[in-house]
Amino acid sequence: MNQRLKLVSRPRQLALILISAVAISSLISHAAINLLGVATEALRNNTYEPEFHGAPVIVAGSSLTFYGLDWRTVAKRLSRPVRSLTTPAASPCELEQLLKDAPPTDLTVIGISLTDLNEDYISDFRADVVPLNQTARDLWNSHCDRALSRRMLGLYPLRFARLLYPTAGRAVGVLVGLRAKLQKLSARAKAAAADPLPVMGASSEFPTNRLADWSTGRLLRNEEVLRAGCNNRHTYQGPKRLALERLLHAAGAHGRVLVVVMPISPTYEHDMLDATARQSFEAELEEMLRCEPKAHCVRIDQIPELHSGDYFWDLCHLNLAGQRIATPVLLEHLNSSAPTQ
Amino acid sequence: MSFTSFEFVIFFLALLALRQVVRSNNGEKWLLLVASVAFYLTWSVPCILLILFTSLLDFYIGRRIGRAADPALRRRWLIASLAANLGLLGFFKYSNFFLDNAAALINAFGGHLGHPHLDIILPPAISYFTFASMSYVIDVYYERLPACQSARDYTLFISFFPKLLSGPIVRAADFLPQVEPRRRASWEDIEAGLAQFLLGAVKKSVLADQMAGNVNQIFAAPAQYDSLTLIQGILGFTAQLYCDFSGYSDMAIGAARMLGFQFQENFQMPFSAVSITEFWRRWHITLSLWFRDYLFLPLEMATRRAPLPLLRLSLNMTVTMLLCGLWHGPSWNYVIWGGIHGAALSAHRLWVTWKPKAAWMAHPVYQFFARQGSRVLTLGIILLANVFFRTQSIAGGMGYLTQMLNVHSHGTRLLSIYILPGVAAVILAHFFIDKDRNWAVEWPQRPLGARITAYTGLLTLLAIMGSMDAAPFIYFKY
Repeated sequence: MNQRLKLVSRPRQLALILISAVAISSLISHAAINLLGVATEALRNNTYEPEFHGAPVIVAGSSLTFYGLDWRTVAKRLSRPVRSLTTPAASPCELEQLLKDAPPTDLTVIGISLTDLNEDYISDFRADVVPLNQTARDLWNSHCDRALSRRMLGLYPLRFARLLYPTAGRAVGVLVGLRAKLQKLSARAKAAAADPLPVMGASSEFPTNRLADWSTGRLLRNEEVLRAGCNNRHTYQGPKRLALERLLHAAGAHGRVLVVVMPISPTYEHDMLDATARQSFEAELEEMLRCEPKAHCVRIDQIPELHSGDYFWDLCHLNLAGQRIATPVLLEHLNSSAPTQ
Repeated sequence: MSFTSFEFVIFFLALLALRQVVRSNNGEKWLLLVASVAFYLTWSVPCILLILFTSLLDFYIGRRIGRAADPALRRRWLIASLAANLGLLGFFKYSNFFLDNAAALINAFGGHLGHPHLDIILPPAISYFTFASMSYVIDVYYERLPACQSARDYTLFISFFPKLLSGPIVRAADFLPQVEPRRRASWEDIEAGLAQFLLGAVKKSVLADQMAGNVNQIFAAPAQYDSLTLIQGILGFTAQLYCDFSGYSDMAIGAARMLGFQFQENFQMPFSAVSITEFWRRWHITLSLWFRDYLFLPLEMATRRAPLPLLRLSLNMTVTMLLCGLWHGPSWNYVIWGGIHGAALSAHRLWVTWKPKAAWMAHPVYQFFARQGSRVLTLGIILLANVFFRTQSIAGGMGYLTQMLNVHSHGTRLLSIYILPGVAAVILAHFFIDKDRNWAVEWPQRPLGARITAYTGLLTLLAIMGSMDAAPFIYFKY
């Protein structure tokens, strides 16, 4: 074998090694994704109560919008199907693109929040949804800083790298999947089954666990993950602002637009936000609503009862109890302001 | 442009391709110089002028020293070069430190200087290229090296991109002879370089970057954690620092090797050292050699007639390490870090010279326990010093240590799924891998199957556990 190997030239040996190594590691990466159930699908669109007839209500937002409001109840109350447009950590940049393929409607609901509009919090699926030229244009027009531009543009080559290695840049997802697998295998399976990780929009069983019950260690760990996700910065007035402006115009061209501002937990606000970030967010929101007169705003984030860890299942998402407070407020607004079919 | 970015991969592949097109040695040198300048421009546009200034100044002074026969004149040129280099380093890196301390001193004696502050940008890599350039002039002065006759070659030596930002601190005596003949990396070099580069990327992206989040979290508010978490924090930081910096060095050395250049290793399993002296032979080797050759040995020479040689040696070691600490950053916590290492080095030297239990020392049982004890003691000193290295202030370091030693504190316990496996990986690597071998260099001699397995392992680790939002390399700020 070694004799035969010596006959193969060095360049050929290296080529053989690299091709084999890339092929095997790519296979392992694909297998890990499938085995651990790591989410790789950019689009998570869903239709609530499709048996109703008529033009659907279009709801575009991040997971905060879909955990925080019971869209099935909304659909029943309006007697119209509700079509959701979302992608993990969706921001106006992704929603703008998703809205282009949405069916015609006279009512569009756009969910936003302090985290959704944070320029430093970038969706992992941005490159799958937003074309590169759009990203480049928005970065240029918003005079984005170099670090953020680099992070955003870096997602595009990553998209191609993920054809070979779907796990690339998804270490957290891999670890979460691995933990879930291990929990299933271990004696803690029962406990894990009793407190499952909720699946966004997949069922009517919304999470009931409470942020208030979290241990300090768990809280700190999760805060750190969120901090790492946004480089511990909350900035506004960047590409997301431009996209939101276009999104509101596009939705407003077809009918009514409802902007729902979703809350984040008081713990998040206290530990990770400062007054400047909040002021920038409010200024951006005000500016946007002035730009699109057809848009109306529903401030779920200003419902006083929701300012408690009892109504969130993690640092950002409302739980079932929170949802039960938030949904009637939205419905009340819909009934008073939007025509139904 | 960081080594772990997509831009760098594209840049490097383009450079390798262009090198194949360039036919002449001169063309190749120009290509490498342009590539190095382009690489630095991605970090800072105005500061490139500083590199060019330093390069051309020391090139000129080197030639003047080389030509001058009069020792006084040679000495004057040497002093001019040292003054220029140290002046630049002092101005850009230490101005505010000196101003702050001078103001504090004056204010303490009743003066009213306020808090003067200059808005100075710290040019990336200034500590590294200044040291590289100074070593060249000193070597030419002592006739250990002929003066370089090409400004292009000298500028390439200073700015060569693989080692520009964080070392290794390559000496002109090692680099310049390598640019003289046409450099062509052999296929073995390319394979070994690629292996070392990938290994470095794994250390950085898989270990250091993944540990960074929880380490930062612990050091951001040590008062709210319990003793065990703080021990985990300092272990995590030490492992992170090692993986980050040795990962960078591996990538730099690997990239250079793929271009046909051979650099000295910068790390050689430092935590397997059985004494602090051995640790410094294995940790940031090129920096410790620089300080040994250009500061410690000249100090020894200058004070050779002083009485109490052991005390003199200890003092010189301590001064060297204090300045080594200050080199890391304009802050007293780095001086404390250097002081701890200096004191430990001196104590070790005294212990070795003193040999209090000479009769016992030959006994195998004593040797075994002494060896393990030394290992633990060495690691303890490193961890203690690293508390001050990481906390950025003396008060912060003291606070961290106090909280860490308070076993009855009721702080939060945080068991990090990133720190614990990272620390375990570093310990296992030091436990199982021969501390004096460089397996990346031996790699191309291994059987084909082993090489495929190793490459597959590294690529799989990078693809599954690599961090994409790479944190800047820790040593970039020095």
